[in-house]
Amino acid sequence: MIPAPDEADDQVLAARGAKGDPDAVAELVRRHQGVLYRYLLARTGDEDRAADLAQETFLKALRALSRFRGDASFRTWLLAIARNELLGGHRRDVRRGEEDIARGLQVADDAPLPDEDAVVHDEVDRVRVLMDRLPEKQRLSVWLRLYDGLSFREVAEATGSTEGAARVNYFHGIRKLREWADEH
Amino acid sequence: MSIETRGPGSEACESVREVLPLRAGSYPQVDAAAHDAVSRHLAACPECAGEYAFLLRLQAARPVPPPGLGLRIVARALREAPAESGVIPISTAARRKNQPARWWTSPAAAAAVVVLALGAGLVSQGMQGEQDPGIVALLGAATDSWLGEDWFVAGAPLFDGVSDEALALLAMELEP
Repeated sequence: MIPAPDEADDQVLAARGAKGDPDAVAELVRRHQGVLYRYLLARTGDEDRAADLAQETFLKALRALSRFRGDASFRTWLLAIARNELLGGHRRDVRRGEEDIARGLQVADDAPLPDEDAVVHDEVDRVRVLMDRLPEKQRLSVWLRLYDGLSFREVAEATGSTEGAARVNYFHGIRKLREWADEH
Repeated sequence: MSIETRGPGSEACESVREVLPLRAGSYPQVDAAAHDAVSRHLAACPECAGEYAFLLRLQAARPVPPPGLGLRIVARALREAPAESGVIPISTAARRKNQPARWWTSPAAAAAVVVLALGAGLVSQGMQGEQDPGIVALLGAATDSWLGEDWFVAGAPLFDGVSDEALALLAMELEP
């Protein structure tokens, strides 16, 4: 397996960022805002909250750059900070997000059939509704593997599970999604 | 990447299906040899081909950050970084590097500042009449994301010290 893209570069960028190089900071943000935002969106189910938390998480990470040792990849280190951020101060928000998702699913189930003019948009929405039905660890495993190309080891680190569990969660998630998609 | 992909079969399918999400996302971990091997397997295995088609469908719904998120993070980082932290406040860093703040010479960075101005509602009516419709159309989706109580139009100093190239790359993320 080829190493994750730019992993070695990330360590160099982090070292430069820790010394105050603004370009290194900008490049780290550019590279990793996506995976961070998606991780937080998968956890909270709320786009605005995910964006806000992404900002707070990145700021914490940038303040702590000098403590990044490169034992894990930068992105899993970043996701670990996000995970702590959620665990530390946002449990209530996460639960509220899950309730919102549940309400959204109820609405989706009752929704009329899509207008043909909005097929593409509705296809995206349909996929996201299916994703939201997955248990959180399966959803996270699918998102991190499919949407950001993380290794199962990285997925395990980001989800607080073992590599084997991350693999199982991914495949179970995909199997369920296919089953649900076939029902519609 | 070494994967067993010879024809349909549980072991071959298992190996291929581990790689399929990486291939669906065009991630570089799948090198050319693995890509070709997976292609041959998919041509011979309808089950895996079906899964791959499904993953592509999921990939099309990949959520993306709101436009301007990266710029907002960088701006806040540069503005808020405490002196004792690893990240030196950028204005200080720029001075140390004796790097002139030439961000406004970059069209993309300049476009980003247009967004700042639009988002903060500080573009005068007269100026609005002179806006490039292309830029406004390109960046219009980002304007909402710039509105915030901690945000202001004086964007230039916020990015002081960031090179044209780095800022242009971030500004490109504004494109929906």
